[in-house]
Amino acid sequence: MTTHPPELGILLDGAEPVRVEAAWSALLDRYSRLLLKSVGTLGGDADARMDRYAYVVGELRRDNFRRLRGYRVDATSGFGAWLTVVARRLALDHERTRYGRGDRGDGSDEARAIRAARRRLTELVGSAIDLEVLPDQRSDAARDLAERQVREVLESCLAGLDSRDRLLVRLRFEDDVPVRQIAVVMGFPTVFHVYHRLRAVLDTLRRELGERGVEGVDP
Amino acid sequence: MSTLHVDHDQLAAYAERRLTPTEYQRVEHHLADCAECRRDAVAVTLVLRSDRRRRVLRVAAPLAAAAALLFVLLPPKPGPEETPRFRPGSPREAATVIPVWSPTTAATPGSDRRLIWGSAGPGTLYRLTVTDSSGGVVWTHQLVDTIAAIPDSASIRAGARYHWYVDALLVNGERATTGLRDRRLAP
Repeated sequence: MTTHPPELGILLDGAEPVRVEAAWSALLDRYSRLLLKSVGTLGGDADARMDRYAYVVGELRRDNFRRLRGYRVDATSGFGAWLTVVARRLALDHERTRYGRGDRGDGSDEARAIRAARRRLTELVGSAIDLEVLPDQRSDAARDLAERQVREVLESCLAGLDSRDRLLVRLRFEDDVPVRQIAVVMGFPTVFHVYHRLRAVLDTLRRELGERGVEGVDP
Repeated sequence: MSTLHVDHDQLAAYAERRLTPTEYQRVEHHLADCAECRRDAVAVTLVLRSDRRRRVLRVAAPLAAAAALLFVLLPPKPGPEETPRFRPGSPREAATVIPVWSPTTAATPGSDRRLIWGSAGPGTLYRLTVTDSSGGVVWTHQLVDTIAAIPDSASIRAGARYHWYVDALLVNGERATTGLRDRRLAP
């Protein structure tokens, strides 16, 4: 169980307006840096960040601090961490309202990046296939078909992994998150542990591919 | 926010490492298949980490200044000889690569636990780390020699593959490493 920051208590307890204004200012003073960092995770220049920040502050204040009332007394997280999540998601909503859902359209940069990352994973896991099953003399069509088949089997193998291993693979190869950051996010003690685990998971994937009839894969 | 996603509190608690193992597993299960929450988790964790570092620095800087002042003002006291210590680092920070002389497979009985690497120069301190195949550290040892034998007390099963690496602290303060190596114990 966590404790509310004192300013939040005043804001939510319906104190007189002067005290509420003072508490709101104090809360912003205390958490503005975190809010700015949170909205900054979506990229963009200083103007874009300040635009998002203004939107988030407005939303937090709206309807008598309705969003802030969502922080429960029995919350597991600290208020600062909770606020960081809320700010990022509000800023993301704001971006989508203005520019559309960038991660849904097939033609977006992000969608292209995801496809590229999946291709990297296929190439990495199926490196033996590239060399042995897809020799240069094969036609482009045959090569495309074989690659698509490998990708489908690979997706199926990924689905069979333990969820933590699948998360590791997705972070590294689909989201292209650096290993150092993966260690922080997933709580690995060092980057070496991330590399060890990745290697073990990729070995498993190669073996699975071999067992499912994808030729040319060394178990 | 849609109930299909991890809620704010759970995601924040995940980033802060405040969840129970069961909750942690449930969140990771969702993250594995939800790109949107995954991106949120990465972003929030990194923001919180950088904010924590900033707060630590804000507290530590005046303390460090005070300690430096005391160090200058107080006369040195005789004490035990200082032991050099390793700082946590990564291979990228280590400029020099140490050659390894141990073969990947053992040639003679008992030699599967013996690890040999090249010298990084006189006065170098080495830290040897051995991990099992899942990455868990099973043995670590600091020494000035370039040969070591993994003790039987290190829990590696016969026939199992393990990993090892050596970080070196040179006398000029630079670092060196062998990088990650693989070996297998005799069955």
